[in-house]
Amino acid sequence: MNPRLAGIAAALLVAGVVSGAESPGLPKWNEGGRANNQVAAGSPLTGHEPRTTVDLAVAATTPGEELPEKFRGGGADTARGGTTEFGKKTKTAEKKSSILEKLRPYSEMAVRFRIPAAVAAGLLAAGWLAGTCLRRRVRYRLPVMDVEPRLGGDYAAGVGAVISFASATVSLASQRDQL
Amino acid sequence: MDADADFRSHLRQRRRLTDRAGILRSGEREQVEAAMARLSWCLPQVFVAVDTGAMADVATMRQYGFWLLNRTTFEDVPGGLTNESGIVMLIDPQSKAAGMTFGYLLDPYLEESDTFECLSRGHAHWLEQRYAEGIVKAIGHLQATLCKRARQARRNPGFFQRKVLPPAIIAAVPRHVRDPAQPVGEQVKPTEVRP
Repeated sequence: MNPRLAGIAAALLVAGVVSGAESPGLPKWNEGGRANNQVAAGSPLTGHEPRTTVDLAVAATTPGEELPEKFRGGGADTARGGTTEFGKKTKTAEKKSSILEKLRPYSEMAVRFRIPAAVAAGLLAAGWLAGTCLRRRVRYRLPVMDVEPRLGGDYAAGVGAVISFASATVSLASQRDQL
Repeated sequence: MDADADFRSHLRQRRRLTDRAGILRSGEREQVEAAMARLSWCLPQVFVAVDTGAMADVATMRQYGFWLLNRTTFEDVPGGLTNESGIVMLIDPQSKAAGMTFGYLLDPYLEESDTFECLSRGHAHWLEQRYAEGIVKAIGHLQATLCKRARQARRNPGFFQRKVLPPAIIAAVPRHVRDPAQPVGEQVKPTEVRP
């Protein structure tokens, strides 16, 4: 090996070990070329927006750094869109709990007044039933009024409707007085 | 009366339910009679008669109903009521027509449109040749209508009284009605009389 090249390689090795010791949040230099490239491009240390899970992990472990708005509260799955559902579920559960909290006084009141309410409902039903029975037993009287005889009829003037029920397709109104 | 000559062959004395056409099966007659009895119980002044038969030889159904109420005596009318308080329902299964006629007692309380409403209740049943069901439905609606009118008449009898007033009385202008030729706000001054 060329002694000159060997010296450069040793210097690079030493520089890498030293930089890794100073910034523990960075991945190790030998994890793979792609990861290193991405970290180099999207690391919080570099000031760029994180793109992969590795970047997020780095950002989470780095003190003093804040996640972008779209990743907050989501964890590592936010980038895949899985956390939006989780967030929605959480919000729905919160809403439900708030509604239950609002309804709690009423439910307590319902439990408290259940016996009087049942008695009132029973009385109403009994009243309705009695009214229906009485209405069926009522007899009606029509006031007798003097009506002048017409068309020479002693008892009736032949007033009344006539309908035809010959066809089911023709409307009833058009079958009126067809005779 | 010409109708007398036309309907001479028909019975002058009959029962309220006359099934000349034979369209009511066994058991259905009882249903129809029960509906008629219910109406007579609820409204003791009124009775219903049902007549089914072919009327191809008669002029019109309306004429036949008119003749039936004025010339026929119903044997089984409750309480000896006259035909004035009767309602006749006619069904002709041959010419597929139905009609309803009522007496003078019901003149203030029923109109032709009411009878049309009653008949229309049975129309769907008669189309399918279920005559008894249609008759029961029509009588039920008639009973409900008359009960409603009786309640209204108890509250406001004048409304029904006005319906049967002679035309001469209706045409007379009441005193409190303003003369349309006179403008609003202008009062007639009394004529001055000088000695």
